[in-house]
Amino acid sequence: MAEEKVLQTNNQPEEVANLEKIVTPGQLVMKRFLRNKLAIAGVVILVCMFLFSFLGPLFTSYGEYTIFFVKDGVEFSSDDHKGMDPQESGVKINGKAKPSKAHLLGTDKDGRDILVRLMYGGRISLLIGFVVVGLQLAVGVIMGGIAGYYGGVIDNLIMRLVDIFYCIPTLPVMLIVSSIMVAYGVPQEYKIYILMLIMGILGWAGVARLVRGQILSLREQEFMVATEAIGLHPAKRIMKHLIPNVMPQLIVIATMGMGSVILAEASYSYLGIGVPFPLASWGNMVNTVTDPIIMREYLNIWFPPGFCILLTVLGFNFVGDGLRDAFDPKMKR
Amino acid sequence: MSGMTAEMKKIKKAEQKEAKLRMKQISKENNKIIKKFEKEKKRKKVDPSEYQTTMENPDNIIEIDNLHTYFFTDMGTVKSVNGVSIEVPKGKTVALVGESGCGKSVTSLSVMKLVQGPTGQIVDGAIRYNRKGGAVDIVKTPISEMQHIRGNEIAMIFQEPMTSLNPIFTIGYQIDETIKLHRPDMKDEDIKKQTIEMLKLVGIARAEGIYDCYPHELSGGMRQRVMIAMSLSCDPQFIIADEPTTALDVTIQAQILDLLRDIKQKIDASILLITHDLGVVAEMADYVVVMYAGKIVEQGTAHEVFLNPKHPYTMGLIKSKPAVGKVVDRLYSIPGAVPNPVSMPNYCFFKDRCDKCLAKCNGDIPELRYISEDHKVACHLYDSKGGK
Amino acid sequence: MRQYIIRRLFISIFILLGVSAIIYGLLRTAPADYVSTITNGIPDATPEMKAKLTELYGLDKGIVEGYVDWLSSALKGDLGQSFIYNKPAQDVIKDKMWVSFWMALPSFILQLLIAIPLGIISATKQYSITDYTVTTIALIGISLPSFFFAAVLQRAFSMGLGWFPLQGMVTAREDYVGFAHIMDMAWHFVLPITVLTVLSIGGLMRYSRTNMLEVLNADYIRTARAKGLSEHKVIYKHAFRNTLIPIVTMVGGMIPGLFSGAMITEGIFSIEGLGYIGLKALRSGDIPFMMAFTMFLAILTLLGTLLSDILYAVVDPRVRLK
Repeated sequence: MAEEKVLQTNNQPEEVANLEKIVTPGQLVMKRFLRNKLAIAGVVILVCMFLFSFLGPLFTSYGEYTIFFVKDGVEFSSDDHKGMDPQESGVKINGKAKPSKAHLLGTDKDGRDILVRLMYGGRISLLIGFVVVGLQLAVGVIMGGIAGYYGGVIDNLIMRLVDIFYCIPTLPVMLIVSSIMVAYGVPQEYKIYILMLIMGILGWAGVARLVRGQILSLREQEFMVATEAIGLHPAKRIMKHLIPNVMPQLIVIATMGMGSVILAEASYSYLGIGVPFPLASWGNMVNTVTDPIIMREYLNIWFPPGFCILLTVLGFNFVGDGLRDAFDPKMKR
Repeated sequence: MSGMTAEMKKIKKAEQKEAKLRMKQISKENNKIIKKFEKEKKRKKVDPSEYQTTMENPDNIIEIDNLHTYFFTDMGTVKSVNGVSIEVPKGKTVALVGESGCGKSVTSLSVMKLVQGPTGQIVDGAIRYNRKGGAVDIVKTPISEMQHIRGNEIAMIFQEPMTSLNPIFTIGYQIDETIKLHRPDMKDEDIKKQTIEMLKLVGIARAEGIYDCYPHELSGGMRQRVMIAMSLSCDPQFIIADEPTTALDVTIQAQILDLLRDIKQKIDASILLITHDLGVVAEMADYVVVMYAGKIVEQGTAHEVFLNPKHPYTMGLIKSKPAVGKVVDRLYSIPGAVPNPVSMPNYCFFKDRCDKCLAKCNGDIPELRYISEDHKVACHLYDSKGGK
Repeated sequence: MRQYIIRRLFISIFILLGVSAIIYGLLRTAPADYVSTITNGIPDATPEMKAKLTELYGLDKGIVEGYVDWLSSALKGDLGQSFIYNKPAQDVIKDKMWVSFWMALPSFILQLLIAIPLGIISATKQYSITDYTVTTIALIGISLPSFFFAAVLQRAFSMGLGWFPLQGMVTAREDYVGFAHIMDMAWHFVLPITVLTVLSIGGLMRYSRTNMLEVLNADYIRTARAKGLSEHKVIYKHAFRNTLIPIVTMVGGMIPGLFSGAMITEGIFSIEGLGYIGLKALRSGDIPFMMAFTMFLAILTLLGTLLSDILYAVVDPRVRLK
């Protein structure tokens, strides 16, 4: 009885007629991706984080470095003195303020608004994530591509280089670089670029390994032999036929990589070798927790930035994980 | 010109939107259906009376009756097996022939209840199996009971010998395991003895040496012999051989076929041989079933179907096989392709590739009818001759 | 097999040379007065010490010459004198790595006990609520910043509830001996071990899940079912044994890493392991220790990959290393 009903509900030949022809492979990936609830959660988290970090500052009059002062219960800021002088006696920095209407998450120990600094911290984290991952991909794809395509001695050399970079411990090197920068007196505003550069240089080995592996297996396949037979230029063969085939994996590791780069940057900033103060970064905001009083009494100062890191990295990992499943043709769902 | 393309783009976009919506609907429906079937399958403690049945003909070992096995994919429901009825008489070999994707393998997997879930489900029909203790309907038999039947009473030989053996267990271990499972009272030495005997039976000379080998140390042909030995190890009543020679090279194919024929004479089992190689069929089968797009198009004794093919598809199949001593310019190939499995037409599935079409062919799908005592065909060409 | 190991060791030496050259080169990009900059922080740094340092690290020589000097003494087993500990760098490492190990080992065992079963269950029940829950927990673990999670634990369990100590390895002013001492240390290690475990569970769990899924789709699993094996046996014997191959390989590769120390976690909980010491040394510019420490970490990484390759050959009958 019930089975008959089943047969009927699925008997709609005209409607489904050319579904297979219309649906592109991209749409299929998309559909598998959208069915994954965690991936959707990841997308939502990331969209919120982006809006919060990049559009959030437009909705507030406070700046990243604005310091708030208070005199006799009246608050004014370094941007808007309201006719009062910060140097005046009796004026105090409105530090470690509890959350209020004016400061939804309160202020930090230097009297800066935490919510606003969270937004700017997010900008920095996401920016560093994109730049570093971009760098790692660029170097990794080129090196891996060359190694996989040419093989032989070149491959051997590049792969040993990959081994070397794979073995270099990242955190100690970052600490060394940071102390060298101090020794040279590198201005604070440049540090962040050097930081990104070093993170990019240290992280390309994984990408190169992946690209090389893929290319080695692709090279054996017939369609690559065909491109050789029709006499395509090697650069074109790499760019047009090999890279697109590695693309799905690249997208996945780029997404996951965003998460781990943001996490790494946060750790560096926490240790004081990443984004330098007074620039806001989630990592250096959590660093205030080293003060036991802040840890105990002012959760509003250290908890929100840490939670932001967790959410953002989680968002990238959810999306990356969902993409990996969606790209996998073996996934039959 | 550019206006045209813009217009076309618009249409395409609308189409894709439609498709997206449709896909969503399909997957929603599928989920519901799949859940229902999976629940049914996982039931424990089913009363035997629920799956006991009686054979229509007690001389048959298997009666597949109006079997429907569907795959609920996101593109729609694929009706892989769409109303197939096959009888396998005791001690006989039935060959199931057709091109790839016509539902042969799914039919055989249905008999073992091994259709890849959760998308693939047996939705309708019966598979009556003439068990020693009384006939059962495999479709209704719970998995827990199937586990006593699989490998013990019904055994299967798979298409891919290279990947069908577990790479981390020795050959001996894997055959021992089957015997031990179904003959729990047997002593370990006896089990080993039987395993080695089985290996010898399938023509492996160094059976003792092979016993301790891992699958990767053997060639494809050897592995298929091992698979055959494993399937024979519990003395099954019914053996399903799913394209046992397809993955092997030609010389080895011949050896394995010889072996199968040999064994067929030695043991008293019925065989369901699935293949797309007509040569194999001619040599081994007593009966032939020709499948096309999930349905049976022709069925009869091997002799009848070969010498007197009726369905245009069968004729095409036979014509497209090279034969020694026959001079042809070019090997025949059936024009066109199998229809889209998701949206089958509501007229004869073969109509679009058929060169003998009648006006009637646009009408209903032809039914399988007797045209002689041991020959059935599903084609409008024979509507008048056959009668009911 | 032996040939393979020898070849790998040979390559490893080459890699270590590369790593040391890069680190040394990096250190040498520091300005000429680097020694005085770093010794500024140390009040009792004498001029002789500075001179000795300058000479020791060949800072008075060319970069190539300096590297060759460092290398030749390193080959003799002399990695230099750590000046904040005033001991040979290798001795400091030898002392402290065991603290890191005893903290990492329980976490490692917990990780195996939790991650592998969860990964397997998650794979066998793909797309179920269990699977989603396990995946979410795993990904949260991967995404947690260690310093933040440590802070949350400290705030909740030591400041808030007072169950565990905030920092340190032993209770100060209590000279426990014997078993009491061990219990005291264990009590101090609870929070750091929790941090290490939660953070590392995710990776292994996902790895187990992915591999199990792959195995479950294999043809030989269908064969196992066709034999009549129960679903339980199919999964826990035929599938699991195959999944174990990549898992054992990965887990084996993690063992050397147990000695490497967790810089941030040890730093936060003031556990005097290698990570904590390393962080301190790097902060104060202890160049000899920096070189020795980074080399030690590189060796551990290499040992890890070597070990996992060898284990692969041991566990998988199909692999014969050449």
